[in-house]
Amino acid sequence: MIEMTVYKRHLSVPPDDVDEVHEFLQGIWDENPHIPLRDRFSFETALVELASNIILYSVVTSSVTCDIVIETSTDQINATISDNGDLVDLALDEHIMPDEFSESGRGIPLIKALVDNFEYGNSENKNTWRMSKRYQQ
Amino acid sequence: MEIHSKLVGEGVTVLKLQGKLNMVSAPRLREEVHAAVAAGNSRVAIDLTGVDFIDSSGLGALINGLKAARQAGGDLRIAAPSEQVRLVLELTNIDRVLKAYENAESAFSD
Repeated sequence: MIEMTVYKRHLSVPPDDVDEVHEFLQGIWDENPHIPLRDRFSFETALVELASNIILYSVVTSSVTCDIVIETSTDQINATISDNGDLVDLALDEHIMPDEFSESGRGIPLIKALVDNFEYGNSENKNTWRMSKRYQQ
Repeated sequence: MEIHSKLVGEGVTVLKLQGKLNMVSAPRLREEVHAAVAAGNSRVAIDLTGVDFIDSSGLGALINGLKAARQAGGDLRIAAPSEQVRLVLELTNIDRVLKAYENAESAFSD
């Protein structure tokens, strides 16, 4: 049986922002020196990118709360993010990388390029996002 | 994020960044680039030595600055990207339009 270590963080935006996500992950990297550097910054980029999207599209008219659960094991890292922002009608497959001169629209395609698995679903008035990344050898 | 602006020879503005270039700090980079261009210094070198993280908000600020600089007859170039920055530039294909120079001093030496 694979042993997983679980870390949890609650964000309330505002006043929290993506800097809290960086701080949360830094604590996890400090406790898990076996995670390769490239996997750390790939996963951190994907998670911050997702948190940015949640914040950007949720707090235009109100605040949003976000619960992040991270699981680490000897060979992969997983994240589950639940937020109470507006439910979105999102088909992840339809998001492709925009051209080089576009100033926006890279968030979802970049997340897909950075992690091995990225899923979205919603139920009970909550958005739920899951991503995972296996460590490179 | 800290941003230090310095005008060097031949109207080149060097913006030296320190910290994370994300949705919190990206608007400030846009302002700094536009201020340089508005002041007539449309050749802008972004020194990324002190940037250990960039996301799509930061990329958007760089592309916004690139277009503003080119529209004014100049250019925006980047120097000394970290491994994380290089990865993000590659995955988004922005490395095709933003060539990375070894350091800010060499970005406009051609």
